[in-house]
Amino acid sequence: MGPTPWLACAVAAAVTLPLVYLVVRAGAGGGAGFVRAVVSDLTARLLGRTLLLTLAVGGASLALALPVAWLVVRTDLPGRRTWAVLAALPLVFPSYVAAFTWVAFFGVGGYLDRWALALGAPWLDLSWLAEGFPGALAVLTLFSYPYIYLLLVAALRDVDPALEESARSLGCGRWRTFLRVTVPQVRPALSAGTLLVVLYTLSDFGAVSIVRYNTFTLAIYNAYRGLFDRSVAASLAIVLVLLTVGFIALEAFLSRGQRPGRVRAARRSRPVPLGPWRAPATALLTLVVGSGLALPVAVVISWVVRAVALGNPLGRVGGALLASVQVSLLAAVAAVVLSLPAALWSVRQPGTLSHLVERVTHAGYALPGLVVALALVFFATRTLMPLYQTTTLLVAAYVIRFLPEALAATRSSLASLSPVFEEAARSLGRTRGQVTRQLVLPLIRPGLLAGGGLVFLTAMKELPATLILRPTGMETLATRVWSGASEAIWSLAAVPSLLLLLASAPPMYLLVIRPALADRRGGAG
Amino acid sequence: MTVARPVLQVRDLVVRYGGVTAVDRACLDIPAAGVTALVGPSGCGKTSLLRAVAGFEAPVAGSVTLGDRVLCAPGTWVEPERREVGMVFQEGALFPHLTVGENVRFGLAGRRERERRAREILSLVGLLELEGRYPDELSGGQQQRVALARALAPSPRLILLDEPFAALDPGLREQVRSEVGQILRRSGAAALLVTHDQEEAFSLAERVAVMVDGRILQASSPEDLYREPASLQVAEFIGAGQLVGCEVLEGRAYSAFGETPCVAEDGSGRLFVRPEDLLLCPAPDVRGRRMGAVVARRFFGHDVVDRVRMDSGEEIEVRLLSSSALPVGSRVRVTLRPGPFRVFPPRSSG
Repeated sequence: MGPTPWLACAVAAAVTLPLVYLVVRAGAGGGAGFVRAVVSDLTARLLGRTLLLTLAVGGASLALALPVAWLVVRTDLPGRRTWAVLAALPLVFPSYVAAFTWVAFFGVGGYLDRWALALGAPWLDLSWLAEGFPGALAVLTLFSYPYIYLLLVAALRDVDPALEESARSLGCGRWRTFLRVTVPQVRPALSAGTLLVVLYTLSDFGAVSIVRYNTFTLAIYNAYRGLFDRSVAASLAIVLVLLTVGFIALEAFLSRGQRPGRVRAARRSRPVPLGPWRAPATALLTLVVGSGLALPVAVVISWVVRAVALGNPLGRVGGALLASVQVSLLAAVAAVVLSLPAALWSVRQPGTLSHLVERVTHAGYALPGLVVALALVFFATRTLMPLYQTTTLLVAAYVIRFLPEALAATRSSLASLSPVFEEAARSLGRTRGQVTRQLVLPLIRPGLLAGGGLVFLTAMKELPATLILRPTGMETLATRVWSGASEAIWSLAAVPSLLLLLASAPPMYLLVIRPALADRRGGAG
Repeated sequence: MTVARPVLQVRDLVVRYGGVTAVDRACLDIPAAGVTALVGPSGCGKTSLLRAVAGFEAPVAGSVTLGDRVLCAPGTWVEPERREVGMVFQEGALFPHLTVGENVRFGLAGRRERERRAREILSLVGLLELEGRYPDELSGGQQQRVALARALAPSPRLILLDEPFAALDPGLREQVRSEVGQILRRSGAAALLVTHDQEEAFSLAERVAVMVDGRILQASSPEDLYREPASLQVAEFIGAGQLVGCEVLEGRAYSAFGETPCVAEDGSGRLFVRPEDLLLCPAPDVRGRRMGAVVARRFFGHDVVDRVRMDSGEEIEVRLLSSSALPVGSRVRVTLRPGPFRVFPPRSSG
């Protein structure tokens, strides 16, 4: 056995260690202190509000993703290929940028508010849509539903048309066939996508803090900032982790006993003619794409124009851009390098232990960024004080959170590499180490770059951990958008928002949206 | 091509995909019982015709009538779920999330009636003991039998089978084919089977329709189709025929293999000869009319197909019992069986 397994275990341990400290910190006031912090009115209220929002966003995203995906995959909707891409694009907006544009449009003092005033049309005032629960629900649904949508598009394409035709010839109408045959076939995509949306909502800090809807994340942040007793924040964080784990377990429970469907259909379904429904269908897509893509882009651009006109200092944005790029680049490189041992081990020597280590390394993905940040704070203040308030700790948080992205990319490119190459090289006299350096790494480089790109992109957008762990005085693009938006100084938020979009939209499209929408059958069939 | 009291009548049906005409004014009658096979080379439009009957493709012209009910005609369209037409797909298309029993009950109504009919039909296909299994736990042949049971359960007036054996292993295919044939006959339903395999069509169906380039060229019993192909295209698709140049004079065709009665105009033509239409007998080693030598052999066990090169230069294939075959290289005299034979026009006009 080479050094790979040991390295993989070390990475897994390093990734999970801070969580242990979180538990230790929460228990610092004794078990009774934890119980007192958790079993309280505050927690009960937070739990109610968080669950309400999570379930509402999950349900609404499902209700939005299902018709949109069906329209672009299964009907003769005009321009459905273009709609298919546009409907996925809200994914490029970080939740705080989305919330900022939403508030700047619908909120008090926003565009709509001022138009209402100017036109003397008070009914135009929709500011309730940008505050509290409605605001959080609208923003989180519109900008996270693509997680379900993208999985659903692929799943709907893969349903064998013969199944639906069988149901029709057995006497089922269109609608009953959809419910009794199609939906069961795409259920894995529905539940996996909904889980992603639920986890996104649970861990979201940016949107809920800007529209001021108090959930666990916001409460944890405020407790951490405002109270001297940080064990309250730690206790709440643990409840949030339990909630996250609960939803993951629920999804696993609901998907148990899923029968393996047939992998891919040989042919494609005939598009359903929409007939008179063409106009309402186009209207629905226009509404979704308009509010999830056109509106935020327009708001950002118009505020950038005004910020420039106001002579708002663009120079200070340069510093934030530099800082964002620096820490995200460091995180990307570190995540890719650290993903190699676990990926190599689990691909080359699949087994219970290597599988377990790989799973553990994935844990960070399910953890809210805020929780990881808190855990690292407690860890650093206890054992590695010199690291506190350094970029090292911030990069570490990014790596813990986004290592799974790098791991998935590394693993899949390694798995697609036939071991025959390595065996050939070994038989030609190369050592294991030489083979890895001279053969494996060059061959998987595109995969590594893609994984690194994804980590870079998500790290650029990360907000809550950045807010907590950044060294004093350091601003990133994300923190500048957030502070501008939460103080309603929209001209401050606009330029960094635009930079974030410009930086993240192309890789998001290339690495996430395009592969997800690609018709794996290729060509028209 | 007409049948007394057909259950299905297809008239001048046209199906188009974009600019491509898949079914071109096809006409077909299906008798009220028994299996009709629709054969043709791949891409000939047979599956499109089947799907138009099932209601999965909308024809641009023509009509489909089941019994006395018009399923589709200009201005009339019956949705697939209201057609009372069952369908069996190439790979069964069993619902993977339902058990065998649930699959079979899918098209049935009424709780008690559903149970009774599902058990009845599962025992008909001999799979009652697999009622609680899921499709992925069945073999390919069992899946096809369940698919047939599911389609038969609501007692449709017509069962459509779209290449139902193509996805099976060749070893299994023969067995499943004969099982399906028996089940269909016992159920008493009329069936239309689409296949590209003429051997399958001949072994399973009482009636075979040949489709080429979107048109039905001939529909008759397998024997008639084999003996009396209506056109050269049918003859060529049914296979193993050879065309031999001949001169026709007053009802007799003269060729390198001798003369035979035929029904054709005077002039040149092409004699349609199957390998089993020829006889070989030992001949002395002298060159002469209707003489040649066995130059190659394909061995099939019970019989062989010999390639004979005539002294006049033609080559022809002859099928004969392996017990009566002469060694390769033998000199032979070739004789035609007693006619009459079909003569097709010469190549230029045909």
